Amino acid sequence: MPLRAFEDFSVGDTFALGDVILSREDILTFAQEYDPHAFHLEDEPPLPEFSQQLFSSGWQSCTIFMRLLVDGLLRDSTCAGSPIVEQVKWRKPVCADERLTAATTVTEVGDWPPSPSLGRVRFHHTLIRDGGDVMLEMDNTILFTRRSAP
Amino acid sequence: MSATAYERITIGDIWPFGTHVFEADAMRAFALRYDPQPFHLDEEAARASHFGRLVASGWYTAVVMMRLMVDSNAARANAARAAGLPPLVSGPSPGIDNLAWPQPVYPGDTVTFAGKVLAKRPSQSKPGWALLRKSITGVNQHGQTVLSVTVNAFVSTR
Repeated sequence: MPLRAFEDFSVGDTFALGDVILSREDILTFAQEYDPHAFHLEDEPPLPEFSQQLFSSGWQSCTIFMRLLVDGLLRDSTCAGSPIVEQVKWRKPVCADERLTAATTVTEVGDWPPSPSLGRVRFHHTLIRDGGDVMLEMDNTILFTRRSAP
Repeated sequence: MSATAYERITIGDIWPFGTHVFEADAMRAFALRYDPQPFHLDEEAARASHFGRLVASGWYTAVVMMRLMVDSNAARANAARAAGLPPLVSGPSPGIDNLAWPQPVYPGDTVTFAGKVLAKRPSQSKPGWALLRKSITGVNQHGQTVLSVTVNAFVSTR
């Protein structure tokens, strides 16, 4: 199968990227390494006004989304990296044992003037918890090699 | 009575987070787990890519920044306590804007991270809390910005 190139993306394209469940250990391990706030490390976290249960680092939501995006879309594409995530919204605290389903939709496609052999595709990414709550939203521009020179 | 930690924050304050030397093995280990694209994993494959060399996942650069920020916040809170001043209590973040990677991070790069206070305002939804808006940058040994982001985070006003 040929790799998905810049020309293969259109506004409105939607990709289902699979799901993931974080265990308590996953949350603690990530927080110890990258985000050791007490509220990501304790089963009864301080600051109960934000969450009464242990909740994961927002960066963990971003990185687990990224893994699903690579496995579900970028691996079989001409992806040439990303210059920017325009916005990240951590809508609700993510806790252990919740199923999070990832999806993304193309919102813009365009030229990438710094490098004419590439094009830019902007995506709106979501992680949605069973029951429908949106936990994470990201707007993200990703570059793809063009199949043919412009 | 002395000012609260929140009251002592001044717009324009710069908080150094520290410096990190990026190691190829750590870059690859992160990428294998979270961002397994060829240019983050394999020197040979990276040579054939748009980048021409192995580069760090942008998410790795971001979480390295986060770790340095959390550790430096804790150190600043300890210094405040030692000086008999109330420490700043940090809460979670509702979101960030324009997380950009203007230049790649290569193995061996030394990146220095810092945050600058842009704005502070009391939270409408959380009594006793305010939102602090900071501009964060990571700059490599050549003076090039490799990461920039505007972060909103809750801080206690008490």
